[in-house]
Amino acid sequence: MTSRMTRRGMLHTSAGLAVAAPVAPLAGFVAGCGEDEPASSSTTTASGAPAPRDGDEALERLLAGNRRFRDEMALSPERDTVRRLELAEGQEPFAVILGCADSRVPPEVIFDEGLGSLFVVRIAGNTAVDPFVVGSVEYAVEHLGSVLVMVLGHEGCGAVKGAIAEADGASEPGSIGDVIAPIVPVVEGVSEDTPELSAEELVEPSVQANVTAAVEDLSTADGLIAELVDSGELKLVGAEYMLESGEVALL
Amino acid sequence: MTETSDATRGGPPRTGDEALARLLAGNARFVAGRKLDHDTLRRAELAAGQEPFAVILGCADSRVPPEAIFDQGLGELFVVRVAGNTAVEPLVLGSVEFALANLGSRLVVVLGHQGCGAIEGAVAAVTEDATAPGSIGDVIAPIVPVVQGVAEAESGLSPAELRERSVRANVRAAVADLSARSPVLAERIGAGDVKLVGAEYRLATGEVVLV
Repeated sequence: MTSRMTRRGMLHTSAGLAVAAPVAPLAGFVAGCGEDEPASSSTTTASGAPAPRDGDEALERLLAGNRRFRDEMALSPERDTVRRLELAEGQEPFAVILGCADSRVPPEVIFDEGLGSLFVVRIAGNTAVDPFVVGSVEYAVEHLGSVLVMVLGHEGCGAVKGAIAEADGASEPGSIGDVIAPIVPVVEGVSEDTPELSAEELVEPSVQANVTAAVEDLSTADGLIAELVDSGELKLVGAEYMLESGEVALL
Repeated sequence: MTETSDATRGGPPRTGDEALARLLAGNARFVAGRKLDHDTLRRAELAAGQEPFAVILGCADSRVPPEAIFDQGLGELFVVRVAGNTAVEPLVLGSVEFALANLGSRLVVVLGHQGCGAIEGAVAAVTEDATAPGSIGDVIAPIVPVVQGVAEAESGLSPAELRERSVRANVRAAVADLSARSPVLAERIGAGDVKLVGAEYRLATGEVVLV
């Protein structure tokens, strides 16, 4: 068991013994690909660099991978049988991405990472209001030792466009309204601040405001993420992906 | 010579069956270590809009990125991922519906996987009365009745057997939930426009097996 897992396990023992139970089998899994296995490439990158030890290193690694993707130099690493077998006993993703379901924005591709590096939560509109989404992110930082959480929005997001239409009186069928609902107040906020913008011009600032809102929602959700951010164990950032250039810009 | 995705694309799949065949062919390449050289230059073309041929509802697990295991490039898969790949939340249903309503996808695949941590959490909740901190309980909650159903149907299962069977039962439950809770999807399936299937990913072999 890594010391990081131990610390995180202990954070919650004070809340009652019952919470330790689901951690135990997972901790066993993590030990299988932990720090005391020197030959394991689960602790190295495709280029042989060590796995990120903190949020800053994790972010640096993601941005370096994104530059390879942007420049058509992608390595598409760690997608082979060797890597699969290493990971069969457990995962230790260094980062969590909360991104959009959009087919043009697969995090593993745009950050040029392979199997086992990124824990990826994707829903249309990358919002973090629903406890279900928050819980998925918390699962990774709590049980898997991820040191970075990135909310990743993107240019031309259909869910944001839907929210702009809805703020203008349109309504969506079925459950699509549930996807758009948390984005509507974000759009209204942008629209109030910049009333001169047309519906089309609203898209880009709303995409960015929606990322910022999700970062805030994650940090205020129920204390679990905020606690790790405050103690310096976790870094939380927002970013936007540009469809044509392929670049990820921090917000 | 490198095989490119353009060489095998031959236009988008016209039916759910064609879409499924394309995914399974991609998975066979992944298993065999013969992945295609995907064209990232499609970025410019895709900036104007996406037309993904399939929707994947999968798990957030870092070992199961759909684009990698189905060997598909940018713009081909609309991917919804939440820990435990459940389809109870309106947010998840709405994300799937978004692709069907606006993007013309022909196939929806619910993709579970061996060694799923959310399933392990639900099994621990059932067998040890364990509870999870923060909002993690919200992720596990829809899986708990699935695990209970498996345990009741076949008594005397070891925790490992219970976890293994629950992965597949959870996929089947999500398939049933999608058609029961999404009238939009049910209607498209009824009309023969969209195909809905469940599948399980095997961690060591890389194989995707229909459930």
